[in-house]
Amino acid sequence: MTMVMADFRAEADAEATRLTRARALTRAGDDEAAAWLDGAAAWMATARSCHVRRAVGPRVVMLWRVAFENIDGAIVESQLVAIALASAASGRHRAGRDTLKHIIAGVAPAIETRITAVTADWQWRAHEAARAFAAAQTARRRAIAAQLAQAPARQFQPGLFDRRAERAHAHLAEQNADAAPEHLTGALSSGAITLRRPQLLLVLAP
Amino acid sequence: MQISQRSDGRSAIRAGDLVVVRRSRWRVVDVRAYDACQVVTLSGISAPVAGLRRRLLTPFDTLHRVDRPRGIRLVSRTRWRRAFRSLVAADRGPATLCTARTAAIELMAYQLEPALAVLAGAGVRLLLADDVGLGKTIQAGLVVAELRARAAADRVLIITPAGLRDQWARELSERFAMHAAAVDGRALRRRLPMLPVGVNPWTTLAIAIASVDYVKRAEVFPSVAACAWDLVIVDEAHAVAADSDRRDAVHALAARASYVLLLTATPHNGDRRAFESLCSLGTAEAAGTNEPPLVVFRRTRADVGSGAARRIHAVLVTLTAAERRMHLLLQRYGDAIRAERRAVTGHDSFLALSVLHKRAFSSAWSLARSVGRRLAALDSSDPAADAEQLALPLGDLDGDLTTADAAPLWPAELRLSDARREHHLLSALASSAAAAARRESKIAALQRLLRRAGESAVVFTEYRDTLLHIRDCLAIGASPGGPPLMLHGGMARDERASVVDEFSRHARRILLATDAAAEGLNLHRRCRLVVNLELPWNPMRLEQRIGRVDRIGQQRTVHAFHLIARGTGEPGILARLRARVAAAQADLGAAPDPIGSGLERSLARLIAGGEHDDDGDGRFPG
Repeated sequence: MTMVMADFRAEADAEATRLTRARALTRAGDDEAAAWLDGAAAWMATARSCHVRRAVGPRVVMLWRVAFENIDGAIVESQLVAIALASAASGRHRAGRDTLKHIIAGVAPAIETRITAVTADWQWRAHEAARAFAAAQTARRRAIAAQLAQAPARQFQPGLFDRRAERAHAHLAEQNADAAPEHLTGALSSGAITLRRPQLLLVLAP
Repeated sequence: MQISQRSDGRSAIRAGDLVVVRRSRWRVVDVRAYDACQVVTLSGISAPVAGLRRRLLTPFDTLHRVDRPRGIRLVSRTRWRRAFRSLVAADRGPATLCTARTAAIELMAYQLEPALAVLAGAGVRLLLADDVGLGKTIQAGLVVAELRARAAADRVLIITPAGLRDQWARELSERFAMHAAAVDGRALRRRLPMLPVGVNPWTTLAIAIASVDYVKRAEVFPSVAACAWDLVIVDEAHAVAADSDRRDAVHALAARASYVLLLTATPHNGDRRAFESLCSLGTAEAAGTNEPPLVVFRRTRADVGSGAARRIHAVLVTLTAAERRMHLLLQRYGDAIRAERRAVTGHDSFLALSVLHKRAFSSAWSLARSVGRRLAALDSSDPAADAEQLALPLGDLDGDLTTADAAPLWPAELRLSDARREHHLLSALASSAAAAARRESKIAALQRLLRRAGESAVVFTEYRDTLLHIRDCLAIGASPGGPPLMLHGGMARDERASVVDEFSRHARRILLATDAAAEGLNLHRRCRLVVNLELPWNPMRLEQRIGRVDRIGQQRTVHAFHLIARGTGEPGILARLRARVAAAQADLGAAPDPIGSGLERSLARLIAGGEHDDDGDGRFPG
């Protein structure tokens, strides 16, 4: 039997800091709004306050999400990417909303390609994290499958006229035989993640 | 588009899909496929179901998949800002936690470590051995939530002492919004009529919480084992470390689970074999495989800079003349037994004799009952009358009750060949014990202590009969704060819950409890004072007792009082307990075990043999 004393203090401190900030950022109702957005078209709003307008300038700011999903379709890792699209028009000559929508729709494929490129480092880290997560699971499942295949015929002491224990053992052996390939299949599929197409979530227009 | 089952058996709908059900739009959060149906968890994304979570069964409900609308929609700035804040807050790096932000937990960095370790692939079998009260349930809940968010733990089994099932279900629901079912005989009987014939009810539970004593039953275990559990959590895992049918059952279940979490604040009682047995729970080692090592988290209050101060007081109680005489007669009976056994078998009967000494340390009343039963058996003409029959669990279909705090059987070794002499010795012992029970010095000390403290207290004792005796004594003495409440292994789940509730509501001041009934309870918001009527021989039990009130959230200094009978073997027990604690500390730091498995015997020799222990200074390390 081997055991290791774990030390994840550095990671946990960083994570606690991130979570504290994240909690401070959100207010009641925020997560529900994001849930609405999840099933809707991208949302666009216009910058109204002075400092936001000053910061945005003539640019259109877009928030995209790039995500990995597992074999069941659940998002396992995701990353937000902010893109600022410079616009030649400004002041009174700003593009109308419909024009903006057309422009964004036109450049979307190019942006998706760009996002995929600029998130390469994140994708590699996400892949590595998924691989490490799956590797431990795979090793365990292989061990379980091997153990089930070698399951000894113990724990049962058949009585002279009582065949229940014998039948129960046969049943368990049958279960083990069924479970072993299941564990191996699970082991092989547990680490597979695929990259989703980048998804446009929010647009802030000048 | 109506959704159907795919030919390969995999569900055609997937997490993340948008669907219309009953004229509302939902996002699919989770899909669990069973033989003939699927359980689909949905999150509402349009009025009037926005933000709601619902689970439904297909094909009984029809789901229509819809594509995410393309294009861009103008929304109000308020709405946009809300979504923006939520998205930015939820943004995180690889192998970080996705459920902790919304969980109803106070963020403490050390509590995040086990979940981070699992996500980083550091291990699949974890031992969370933090000090009592540092939030192991929260840490386990985080691991469950994270694994389920990644679809890596479809089925979770939580094995816990019977009294903690509801507490687990409540914590998972309130803190992590996860529904967990507390399973016992009653719950399964309710569930079975709703299922098709032949369906194993355990397979229909995403998160099941069951007591170890229920799961190990011969008629229950096969159906639990037939279910493929992804994660098995063993709470108070030290209770299944020793060789027993409990351990066999838990190990058999855990050894087939992808993830195993062992939770205990007291992993090591000074016996290395028991510790190794604990650490090997759930191993799936087979030839030619390389299983990841057990990952151990062991943090003390000092490590995390948390918790109230703790003061330990050893109260030396002077025995009455009747009590001293009782101990003397017990010693005399022991000498006679030992002399005869040594002559016949060549070895002493210290372990068997220690059972009687334990009873005497607990109360004269409990010793009187044990000796009385033995005398009745000697008087009976039936030679099998003293062989008490094991009780069948017929009156305990739900596995709520435990006999761990019941009076022990009379050891078979304790008998003399000369029945008349044995009768004579035991009669004298019985009458002295009965006389001593009329005014017990420890109970008198307890009454004084409770009166002076003037605040809520939990009083622990090992035996149920002693507990009942204390209750009667305190009732006669008009104990402050009304008659005491009781928690023992003979009470059903509802009765225990009602007692804890009453104590927590400040309705009564004194709670009398046995170890078997009080394990894992959170009493720190109500109380800070623990009194041990006698010393358990296992330091883990002592730590577990004090841990009921010394937990995160305790604002005041915790006081623990050990009542120790002066002039008996109890001061020696205290010193030996201290040595065991030191051994455990050394072993967890990978030092060699200086005690070994002969400790129980040496402790028995110390008590039953009346040997002197130089280290019995009456202090216990805080």
